[in-house]
Amino acid sequence: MSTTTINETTVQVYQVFIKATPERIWEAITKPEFTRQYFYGASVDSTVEVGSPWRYTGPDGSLWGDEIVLEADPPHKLVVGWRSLYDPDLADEPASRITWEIQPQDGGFAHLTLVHDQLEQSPKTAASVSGMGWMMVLSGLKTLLETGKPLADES
Amino acid sequence: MTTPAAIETGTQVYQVFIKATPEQIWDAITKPEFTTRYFHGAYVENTRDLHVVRGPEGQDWGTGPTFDFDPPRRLVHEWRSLYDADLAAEDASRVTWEIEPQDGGVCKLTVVHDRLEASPKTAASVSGEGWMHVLSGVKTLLETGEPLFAER
Repeated sequence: MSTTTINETTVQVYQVFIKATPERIWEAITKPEFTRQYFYGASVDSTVEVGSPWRYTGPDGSLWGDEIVLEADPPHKLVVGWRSLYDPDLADEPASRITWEIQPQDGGFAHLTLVHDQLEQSPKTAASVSGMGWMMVLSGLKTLLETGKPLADES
Repeated sequence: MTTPAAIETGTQVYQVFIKATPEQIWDAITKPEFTTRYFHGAYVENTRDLHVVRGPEGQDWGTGPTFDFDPPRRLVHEWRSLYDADLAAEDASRVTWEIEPQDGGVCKLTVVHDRLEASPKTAASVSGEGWMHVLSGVKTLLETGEPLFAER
């Protein structure tokens, strides 16, 4: 954990340990066939090159996110912009930033950390993604990689 | 999630979503045949009155009272880190486990570690990676039947 003084609402940190290689976790974050199985049905679309678009499309085909790749160091670090286009109130707020970090551990697993920051001007977005929002995504990603199936049963 | 600000107030909150029944999660957090496979090798046995924690050689790692025992929903017990001399010298704190069923065969498991105001070393020791290591391990064990980390 960071020891600097940070505001809970403007810097959010989530983490999980996953029994998978960094390469598989990277794939699960950057490829639509994975994201649609754990990211509220959203498909990611990006070449994952710095400066290129980073888009999410919802199950109904609407654009949920349309930002750019800020930093890419496969399979260790990915930084992308974030703006919640799926909700008009949230879409009006400025873009914030997501950092995915993958650190291999001894014993065939990895530590995945997600930092959502630059939320100072986006209080509604900060409230919307906090707590359950990101932990549902990380829990789903972990289940998908470890069991090959989505976390929640199809309804 | 936990931030340094939250640590200063003495309360840490962690959550994970698990594909399991509340009963399976309850067993995993209260019975030693499960805890030895994900909780740093600790033998944990919870009864209505007592939270027993022992290390692999039988040493006491933090046995103390159970405050609330409501299977399969809520467990509250004392926390003392007797496995480390510096931490053991600090005041006892408190851990609350809550299990809430969700749609789709999934449960939300929440751990609240509080009453840490007078125990800064313990708070730093369990924060972030510490509790998420444990919660990640419970989830893997219940969903795959295998431990996340190599067993001791």
